Amino acid sequence: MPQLSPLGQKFPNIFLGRKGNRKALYTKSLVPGEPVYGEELLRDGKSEYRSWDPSRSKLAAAIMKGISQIGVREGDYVLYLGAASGTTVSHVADIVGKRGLVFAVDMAYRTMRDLLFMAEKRPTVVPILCDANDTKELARRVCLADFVYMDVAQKDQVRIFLKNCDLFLKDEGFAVLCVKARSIDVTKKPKQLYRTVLKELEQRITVVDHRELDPFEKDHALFVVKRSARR
Amino acid sequence: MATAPRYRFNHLSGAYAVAGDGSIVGADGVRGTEGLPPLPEGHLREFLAALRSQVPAHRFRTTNTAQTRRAIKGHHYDDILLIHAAHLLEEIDKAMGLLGKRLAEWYAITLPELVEAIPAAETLAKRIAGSSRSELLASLGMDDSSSLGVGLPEADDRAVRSLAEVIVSLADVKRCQAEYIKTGMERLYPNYTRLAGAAVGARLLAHAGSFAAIVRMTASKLQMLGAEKALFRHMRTKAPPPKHGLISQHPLVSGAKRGDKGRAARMLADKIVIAARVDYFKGTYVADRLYEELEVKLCRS
Repeated sequence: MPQLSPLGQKFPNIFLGRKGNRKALYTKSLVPGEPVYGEELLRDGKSEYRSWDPSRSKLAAAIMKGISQIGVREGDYVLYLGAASGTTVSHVADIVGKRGLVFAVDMAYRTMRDLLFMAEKRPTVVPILCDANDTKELARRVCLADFVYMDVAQKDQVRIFLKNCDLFLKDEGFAVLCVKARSIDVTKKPKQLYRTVLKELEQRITVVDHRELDPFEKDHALFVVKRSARR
Repeated sequence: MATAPRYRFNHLSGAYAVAGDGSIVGADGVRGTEGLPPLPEGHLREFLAALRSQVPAHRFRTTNTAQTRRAIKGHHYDDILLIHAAHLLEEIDKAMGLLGKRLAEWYAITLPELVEAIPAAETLAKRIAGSSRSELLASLGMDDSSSLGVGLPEADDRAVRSLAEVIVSLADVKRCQAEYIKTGMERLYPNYTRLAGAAVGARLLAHAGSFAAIVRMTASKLQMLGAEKALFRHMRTKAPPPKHGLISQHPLVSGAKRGDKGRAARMLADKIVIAARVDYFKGTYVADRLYEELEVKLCRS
């Protein structure tokens, strides 16, 4: 019987376990018996827990780095921009549970194919082939979200993030931005760049917490922000 | 308490009649929706909130899944097919190099003189696969006593020979794929292929990821494709900028004089991008003229 302990109220459906003498994260699987990317599965009676690899998922990396909260709650509707093949998406779907919903948006045909297969087995994942920058089209396809997650590795990703939060994030809702320093400007030092991003975000929104993701993900940082009450 | 519909909004999950406060007062087929003005942007957030509370989640899922499936099914994969072939070609080259080295080492035990005489993997493999050891000895004008090699038992000989056969068939596949790429490139992108050549053109295409990406590219970026490492080193440090990337494999660049390679790469990249755009927007065949202009310029220098 595996030893798993819940990570606390701020991290619903996320569990801490051990692999050898290392800490390991797990999420409680929404659809037991269906691994997404060959991850380890732990069975406990009727429930199943899926290993969440911090070197493959930036959100898991941020938790391992001790972020104070990630802002996503059970039952949330999530707008997930930059879904890729759906690795992190599947864990976010685990977190929000069966009353939640994840709009998984990506503009790449190739990865959307993988995502479609993953979503087939998960009734709360909505695959959307669309450019995250095209909010006009997105508005035709999603609804207001309780949580926005963005990981798109674009040069102007902060602007795209704020634009999406403006339109789709509910008042007092949380959002997460993953920043890849190398896709904003290769010539700048990552640390310096995170400060610029922080400033840029703080002009428009409350930054709750942020973490650099080394050593799990080199030159990446993750920011948790909160939209204020009705302005 | 129903409010009067004032706007309409065509959402993927349905066409909605929207009240002045953004709430949904009816969906699909509400009488008179067609005549309503579209929802102004100022009310979009209220409407999206109404969607959240009034429309069941599965409606978003079924409609979006269907739309996404349609988009993927309707996508044009012409350039991606060629890109796979271009990648395959490079992989076959690598594999042949690797297997060729193995064959040379292995067969050198039994006939080192032949391996010494034929450095090309493909030719060597053909000779080994096609004739027996004694035939090969005779072709070199030698016999068993004059060779450094030792005769192998049947089973060992068969093992080496089967490797030679694999290399021979790989070479055949490579020729077929190269031919496939050439025909495909010339049919889909006649102008681009005339300028870049089928092989270099396909490699550039594979590196860019799609033909549309090449069309949107600046010529200077195309010129640098494949030289990213040097380019970023130049941007980070004071290292000199690279003159060319993959484009240096083009005969007009590789054949240019030492000091002229950068100029040749720049001019060629200019013309390649122009040609690609002509193809993309279904223009006429202008590549011969572009190529001539290029040759004239390059020869004058």
